[in-house]
Amino acid sequence: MSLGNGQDESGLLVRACGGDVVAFEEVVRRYQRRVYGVALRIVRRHDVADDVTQDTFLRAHQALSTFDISRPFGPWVCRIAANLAINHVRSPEAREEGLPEGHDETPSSQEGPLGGVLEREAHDQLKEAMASLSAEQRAVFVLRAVEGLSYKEIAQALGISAGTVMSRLFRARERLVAALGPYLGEARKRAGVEP
Amino acid sequence: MSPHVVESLSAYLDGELAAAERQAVESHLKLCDECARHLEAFAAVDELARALPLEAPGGYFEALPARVRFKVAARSRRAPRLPAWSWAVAAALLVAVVTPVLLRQNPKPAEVPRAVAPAPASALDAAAPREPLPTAGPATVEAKQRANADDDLVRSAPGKLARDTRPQAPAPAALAAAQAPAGGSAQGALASNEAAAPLAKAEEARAKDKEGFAQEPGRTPGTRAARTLATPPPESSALEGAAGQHLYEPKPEVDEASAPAPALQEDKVADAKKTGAAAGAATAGRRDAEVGRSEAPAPKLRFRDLRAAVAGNAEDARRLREQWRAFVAQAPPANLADEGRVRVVEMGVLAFRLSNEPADQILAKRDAEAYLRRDDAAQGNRVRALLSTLGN
Repeated sequence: MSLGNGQDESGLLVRACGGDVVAFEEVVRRYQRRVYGVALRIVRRHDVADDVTQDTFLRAHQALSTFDISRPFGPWVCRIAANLAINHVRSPEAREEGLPEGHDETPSSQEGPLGGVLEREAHDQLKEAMASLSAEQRAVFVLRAVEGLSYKEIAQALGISAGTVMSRLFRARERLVAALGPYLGEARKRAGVEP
Repeated sequence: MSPHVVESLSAYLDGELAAAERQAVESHLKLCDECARHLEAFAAVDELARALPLEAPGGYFEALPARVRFKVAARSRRAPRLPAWSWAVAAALLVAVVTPVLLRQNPKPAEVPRAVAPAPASALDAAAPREPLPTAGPATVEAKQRANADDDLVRSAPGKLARDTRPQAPAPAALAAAQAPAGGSAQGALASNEAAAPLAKAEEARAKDKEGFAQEPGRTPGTRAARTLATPPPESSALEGAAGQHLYEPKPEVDEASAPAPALQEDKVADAKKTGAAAGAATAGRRDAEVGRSEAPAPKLRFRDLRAAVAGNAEDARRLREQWRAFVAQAPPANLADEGRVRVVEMGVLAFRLSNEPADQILAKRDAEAYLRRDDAAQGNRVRALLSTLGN
């Protein structure tokens, strides 16, 4: 039996389902950034995103027995994260605040769509604009724009119709475009969308 | 020029428009700069969002996996198996109390099963023989029943089990008795049958009780039930031999919001009544001494045990093959069941290699072909490779 990435991951998941916590730790290692990214983009606070991320992996571990290992694990676990993140935002105790100061990861070497200072400003502006969206709009936007889930997958994950996904996504993008207008010129060129 | 298509641009960008609408938008975009710029803006926003750096404290991602592992291990030590164990003990105590009462009250134990438990006659008949169930041969009736029951069990939970969080305690307790070698005393059998009815009712009540399980998405009753099973006989599955019925039926998951299943779970499953009836059938003909035997290891533990086992000769390989078959018959979670079926084939092939006996070859081929016919077979390539080694 060949040891492709997919089978390697399937093997990890089967072992994790069988109680191998070391195997599950490796699963966490592979998907933690992606899960954290979904959580953070919705809840917008590191401490809350941390809670959501941990809860997501705990829930995923509990539900592993129902997961079809022939399917990709990433979208599944991201859907769990989005649901938990929305649940947190909807909870009475949630407070919508910006990220705490000083909690910056080592800057990524990856080039973004804009350069340097302009990029940092655009990112700040994007964060503010995302804050103006509802949690549900943020979730739909993150799951589509960042995670690449289909409308059907998003609808199933969030318990809404595909039509609702479509309309929320449209409204989210409209608001973000309106807030980010000046910064999008360069980004548009790099996005290179062909009509 | 056609009217502006701004409201369709988001879905167009995502490739979610129907063909006709997509063509209409494309035609419009060729002629409308305003809509074309709007589309570019949408794409740019997505690009910017993807590029947004993750801000986390230094060392966060280095430490997170170990933190999660610690919590998973702590939770495993704390709670999960306790409820199933409690159900098994509670069911055993109930039977131990009810049995002498019923025996005192009922002078004609032979009539009791028909009056109390809806056990089919075939179940009682199956329980009557005192010899252990035979090892499956290549073309025995038992082997066919096993294959059919296995298929039936899988059809009831085809590959992707319906979400289920319900425990199946009385059924497992009944099955704890059912798992004992056949040939229990008539009294014990009938008393067990007597107990099946109140157990079935208790199971219905528990099936309605969501407390404590609402936060555990994705658990299937097969998982919980199998945890409380007594160790299945190594030669074959008494579950199939006893009744050939579905003893575990996955039920819809309760907590939808927190753990969506990756695949739609379309099949709806039987309710607790059906499980209770099947449990009643399964308990017929078992020794009362077997009722309430300590629960079988959970399917996860059993899987791990079987996986760790090594076959040094053909006899070991055959025994391991049947243990894997019995494991699958316990209706474990879909992915473990699939692995179990493949292991049945593997052990069958190993048995043939070590023995060179035609019977082993025939059975291994039949198991492999049965697996490949399954809609939910996730490891077809692996099984085809095994099949190719068997020759003609």
